[in-house]
Order: sequence, then structure tokens, then C-alpha cells
Amino acid sequence: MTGMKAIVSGLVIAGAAVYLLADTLFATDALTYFHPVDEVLAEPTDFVDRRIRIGGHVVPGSIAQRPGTLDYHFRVRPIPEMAKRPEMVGHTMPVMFSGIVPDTFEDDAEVIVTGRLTANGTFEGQELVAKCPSKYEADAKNAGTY
Amino acid sequence: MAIFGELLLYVALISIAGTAVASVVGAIHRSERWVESARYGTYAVFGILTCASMALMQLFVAEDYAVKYVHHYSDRSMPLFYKITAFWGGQDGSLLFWVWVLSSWAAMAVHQNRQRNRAILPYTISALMVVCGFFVVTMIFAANPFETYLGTAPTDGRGLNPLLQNPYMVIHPPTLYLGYIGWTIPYCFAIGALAHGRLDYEWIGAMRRWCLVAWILLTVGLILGGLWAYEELGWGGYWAWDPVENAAFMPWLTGTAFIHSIQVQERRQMYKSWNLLLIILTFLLTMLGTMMTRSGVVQSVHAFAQSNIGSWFGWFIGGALVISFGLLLWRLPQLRPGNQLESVLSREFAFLANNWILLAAAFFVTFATLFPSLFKFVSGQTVNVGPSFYNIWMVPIGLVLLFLTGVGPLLSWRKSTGRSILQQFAMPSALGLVTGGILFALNFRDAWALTSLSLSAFVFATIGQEFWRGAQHRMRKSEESAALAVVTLMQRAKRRYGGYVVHFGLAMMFVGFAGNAFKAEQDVQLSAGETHDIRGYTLRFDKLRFADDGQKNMVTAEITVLRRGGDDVLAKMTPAKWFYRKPEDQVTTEVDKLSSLQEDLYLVLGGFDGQEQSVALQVKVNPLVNYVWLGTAFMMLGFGIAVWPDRRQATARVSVGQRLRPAAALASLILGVLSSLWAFGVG
Repeated sequence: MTGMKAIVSGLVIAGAAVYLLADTLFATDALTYFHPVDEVLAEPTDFVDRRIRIGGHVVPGSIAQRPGTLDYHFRVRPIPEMAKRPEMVGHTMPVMFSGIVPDTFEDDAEVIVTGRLTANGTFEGQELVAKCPSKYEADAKNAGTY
Repeated sequence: MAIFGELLLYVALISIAGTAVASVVGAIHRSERWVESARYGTYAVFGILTCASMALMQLFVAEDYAVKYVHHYSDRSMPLFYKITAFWGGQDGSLLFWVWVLSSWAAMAVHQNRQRNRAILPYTISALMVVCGFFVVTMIFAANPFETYLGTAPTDGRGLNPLLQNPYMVIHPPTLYLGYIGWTIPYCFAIGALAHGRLDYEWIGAMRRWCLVAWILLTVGLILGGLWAYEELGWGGYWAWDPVENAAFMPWLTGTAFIHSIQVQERRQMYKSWNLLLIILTFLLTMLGTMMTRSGVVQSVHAFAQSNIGSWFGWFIGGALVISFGLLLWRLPQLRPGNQLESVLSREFAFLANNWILLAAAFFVTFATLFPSLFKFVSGQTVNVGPSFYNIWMVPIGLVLLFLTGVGPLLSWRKSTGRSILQQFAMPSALGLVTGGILFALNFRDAWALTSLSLSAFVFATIGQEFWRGAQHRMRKSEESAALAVVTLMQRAKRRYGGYVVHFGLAMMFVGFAGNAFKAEQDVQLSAGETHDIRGYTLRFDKLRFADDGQKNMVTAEITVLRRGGDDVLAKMTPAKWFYRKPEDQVTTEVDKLSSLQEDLYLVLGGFDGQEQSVALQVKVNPLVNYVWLGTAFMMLGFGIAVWPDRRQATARVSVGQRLRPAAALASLILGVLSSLWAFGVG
């Protein structure tokens, strides 16, 4: 039956394409894993020199900028409600970032930093995304911006 | 008023159900009377949903903050204009807007086809009503825009996100929606054709123009979104492979394939089942896109927040998938092609190649967009797919497509002879190669950009050649002047030459895309009086300026742009940051740019220190970016040429005028209801 044949060959082609695409995706830098910062703090050696995205809260008072430059240094702590390794709550991770920071980057802001963990335990960020501490939680259901 | 609006939703649901039943009965019993009542039912549904939409707008205008939706998306300080457009600013209202647009498209399409395509019309109406009904049901049970607060009503609203309070956001969503929803109409006609079994060219012929309209609206909607990101969001670019952009891009790809391959069915009675497959896919992708942006299934900068309507859409898409493909399989034996492919060097094969490429692109984008969600489902790990993955695949795919844009129209139907190929391709290929050579000699070394620019030159040449040959022919035959010859040429074959102009616009956009390879980007920190060099410019930061207009605080950096290595001032630029009072702490970035056909100098104020008088600036040079917008303008022009009515048709339409009376009567009825509604709300 032609219908059956068409469906089977379509599925085979689609399957092969998915395999090929997934294979190239895992081989490139484009795929980055997200880890809450507590996970990275618990087993830092697992993550050294891998491009990852970490998530956490900015430790209040930790943001420092080198005068006259766009070099930032701050610390990130785990988000207690979302922690996968609750025993790491209370620990913090130093982060370096160079470039323009978003308006929402401030004390207690939730940040997602893409970058690499260096052997000395500092996270070198390349991209920085931040959410305001208060506003988004209250507004979460209605934050439509389309 | 809110209760009245909610009531209208129920009334709409009842008339949708009634219309669907009438059309099904009419189809089964082949009863003209039932079909007629279903036709009027379609108009009634449109009328009722129009009233419901007006009721919601009225609630915004009347500042009725007891209504949750109004409270969330507007406040008293907003100008009237933005209060009205806040209608589609959030999820619940945008669903109402969606079904309203769909019902208007449906009423127009049914009215247009009331004489033609009578056989498939009842099936089409039932399909349309099922889609409308789905949206109304979703609204009533999961996302009701008329829901009110139970306790005391707030006295003022929270305000609309200021990013949405600009002209692009007023026209971008509706344009996109109109295009998006437009594809539902040909889909429902396809379902009608499948259900009835009348599967020749007829239904496609009736839908050809619809598809073009949906296509251009979707295209323009996509580009307007890019323009918004570029000018308002301060992305520095216009496309980021964000899931919401992808959601609109996926049906664009399959829809573009469809409007090409239906020409093969028209000319050669081939690809019948393929065309049905494409329109079904296009519709399913529009629904998938709607679900993705609304359900929190994918993470995105501009997705609507998490909500529970995802499962509703999931079931609907699943059902539509099973029914559509079931019908297609059932009818497959009747979909034998009228002709066979005779040669690879034929236009029908070029169209097929174009379709494969577009479909491959749609498949790829869908895969990459859904990958993080699927991966999380399978492994529990959260991952992100960056733009570089998209670029690896989409750049070569896009270039093959650009190549085919030039090749397709030059091949003849059935079979091209060796001589005609030489005649057609010699000049354009030579011009493409020469362009590539010159650019290489000028030290352009990016392989992709070189290929893109050479192929664009090739496409320009093929189009120029077509116009030139056609005009020459006319000038010899009827001794017309060159300009007149071109105009008559376009008048005689609107679709063909309109299509060429669209292709011209596409090639121009690729020139703009190629510019991405040569962009420069730097983040700098400057104190007052300090300068920074980038490409041919020297930027000098003069001072910061602070102002307040009651609605917001404005911080502006004053920057003088000089020619690098010279003293002449090119421009004063003022990138700024605006801090809105409402919604609280909302900040917008006001980009400033110095535009020319060659490039944009693009400045974003990233941060500032009032005491130190220093600023953090994002400085970008985006070469050729304006060709993207210019190309879009040519696409719109080409579309206009292609669908411009023939003089013969235009006169015929006047005599149809009498038949328009019922529609006119209906329109006045709607107007009457609306004005009384208005009076009711205001009084």
C-alpha cells in the first residue's frame, strides 16, 4: 500500500535526520547544560573547563567593578527553593564578567551566567542574564511581553 | 460590561456549535438550505466575536480595573491608543483577538466562495467552526479575558510593559497574527476537499490569493518583529533564533513551499498529495507555534508566562494531526498525478528541490527549537541550544534556497534544452562569478558572505535578464518606449513579474544577511571627554543629561561622532535609558543609530554613573543591515503587483455589487449593535 510505504519511509528519513542533527548538536559548542550553582559547588572538579550555564542569586554587597573598566566581580549563592544539593546552601561561588551588564543585575537578582569554571574555582562568565529579585515572582503569571 | 462580554463568549460558542451542526447536516443530506444557514451562521459568529472584542476594548477605555485582564495590562496614565492595543498585550486577550481575526477571515472566505466550490463548502465551514470553537472553549475554561476580581476592585491598573508601548508593537503582533491565522483558511478548504473527495485544482485555485495574502502578512510580521528587536530592544541584531521567532518562522517555511508547489499542480497536475501535506503541516505548525509561545513549553525572552492552556493545545494539535493525515491517507488512491516528471532540468523539478530545502529547513528549526524541551523530558537535564547551531545548518540551507530562487524561473516547464540553458544562464552565472572575484580581490574573505553576495548578484542578473528580454520583445513588437514596455509587461503577466520582484527583494535581504559577517562590536567604558575608535568613526562622550517627563526618568548620553582621523563631525548621537514609574522599575533602552545604505553605527547605553560622569556603551557597526528592510519593501511591492486585480475582474466585481447587499446589511447590523454597546458602556 502506497500510504503505508510513504509513512514508513517518511519516519525512517525523519529518524535518520534527528539522529544526524542530535549528533552534530552534541559535537558543537552550541549545546550548553544548565546547572544550579549548588550542583557545581558540590562537585567542582566535574565541571572545570566545560562550557555551562549556572543559575543562582547574586550575594548582596558582592558586586564590584574595576574603576574605568567593564570588569565585574561578584558572588553567586544557591537558590534554596530550587537547590538540588541543599547541603551547599550557604556556600558561594566567585564570578568574573566583562562587558555591559543588564539593568536587572543587582543584589539578590536571579542570574544565569554562561561560561567556564576555572581550576581555581572562579567562574569566568561570557554571557549574563538577570531577573529582578522582587518583581518577577509577583508578576510571574502575567509577565507576557509579546 | 464584563458579564456582558463573558455572555457573548457563550453565545459565540452556541452559534459556532449550531453552525457546525448545520454544515454537517447540509453536507450529509446535500441540503442547500442547511448549507445556506451554516453560511449565515459563519457571519453571525464573526458578528458576535466582533462584539466581544469591542466589549473588551471598551473595558480598557473605561478603565474598569475590576477586570483582571484590564488591571494587568493597562493603567490610567496610558494614552488612549495604547489602552486599545493593550487588548492583545497579554495571553487571554490575544486569544480573543486570534479567534476574532479567524472568524473574520472565515466569514470573508465563505462569502467569497458561496457560488464557487459549493460542494466542499459545508465541510470547510465545519472545519472552520471546529477551530473557532476550540479557541472559544479554551478561553471560557482556561483563559477568560473577562474574569473579574471577587473582592473590591483596584483603583488603577498595573500598566502595560513599556516595551509594548511603541508603534512597532502596535502593528507587529496583528500583522503576524493575520498572516498566521490566514493559513487556517486554505487548510480548512483542503480538509473540505479531502472530506468531499473533489481533489483537483479547484480548491487551490480559490485559495491561491488567500495564501499569498497570508504569506506576505506573515513575512512582514516577522520582519517587523526583527525591526522591533533591532530598534527597541537594543539587541544590536534583528534575529536571535529565539523560540518565539522560530514559532512564526516554521510555518513561513512550509507556507513558502506551498505557494510554490501549487503552481506545479496548476500547470502540470502533479504534486497533489504533496500540496495537501504541505498545507496540513503549515496549519499544524501555526498551532504548535501558538502553543509554544503560550504554554511555557519553551523558554524564551518574549514567551507568555507559564499557563495551563498548553495541554488544551496539545490535545487539539494531536486530534487535528490524526484527522488530517487520516483523511489524506484515505484519499491517497485518488491523488494520482496527471503527469510524470520528465526531466531534472525542468521547472517542476526546481520547485520540488525548493520544497525539499524549505521542508528540511522547517524540520531543522522545529527540531532545534523543541530539542531543549524534549531533552528535559527524557533526561531531566536543562540545556540550551545556542544560535551557532542554527547558523551551522541554516546558512548553507539559505544559500541553496537563494541559488534556486535564481535557477527555478529560468528553467522551462517539462524539459529545458541544452541550448536554452546556455542562453539563460550564461550572463547571470558570469556576473555572479565576476562579483565574487571582485569582492575577493577587495579582500573580502568570509566564504559564506562571498557566496551569499555572488549568488545575490546571480539572482539580480536572472531577474534583470527576464525584464530586459520581455521588454525588448514588446518594444520590437509594438514599438513601445522602454518604460512603457516594462509596465505593460508587468500588467500582462502580474503573477510572473510580481514573483520576480519578490525574488529581487529576497536576494536583497541576503545581501543584508551577508553583512553580518563583517560587523564590529565593542563594549566600552568612557568618562566625559574620552574618545573611542571603531572602524571609520571616532566617538567622543560629552556628557550625561537627566530629564523627567512625569511618566519616566530619562538618562541620555550625549555623544559626538567624528570621522576617524579627522575633525569633521558626522553626527551627534543620544542613546538613552528610560526608567518608567509604571510598571514599577521598568527600564527601556533607547538605541540611537547613524544609518546609511552602507552600514549602521549603533549605540546602546549600557550603564552610567552620574557622579563620575561615565558611561558604559555598547558600540556596533552593522554593515549592509538596511538591505534587509529594503528587501522586505520590494517583497511587498512584488506581492502588490502579483495580486493586483485584472481590469476584467475589476469591472465584473461592480456587477457583483448587488449580491453584496446581504453583507452590507449584516455590516450595518453589527455597527448598530456596536454603537448601542458603546452607548451602554459609556452611559
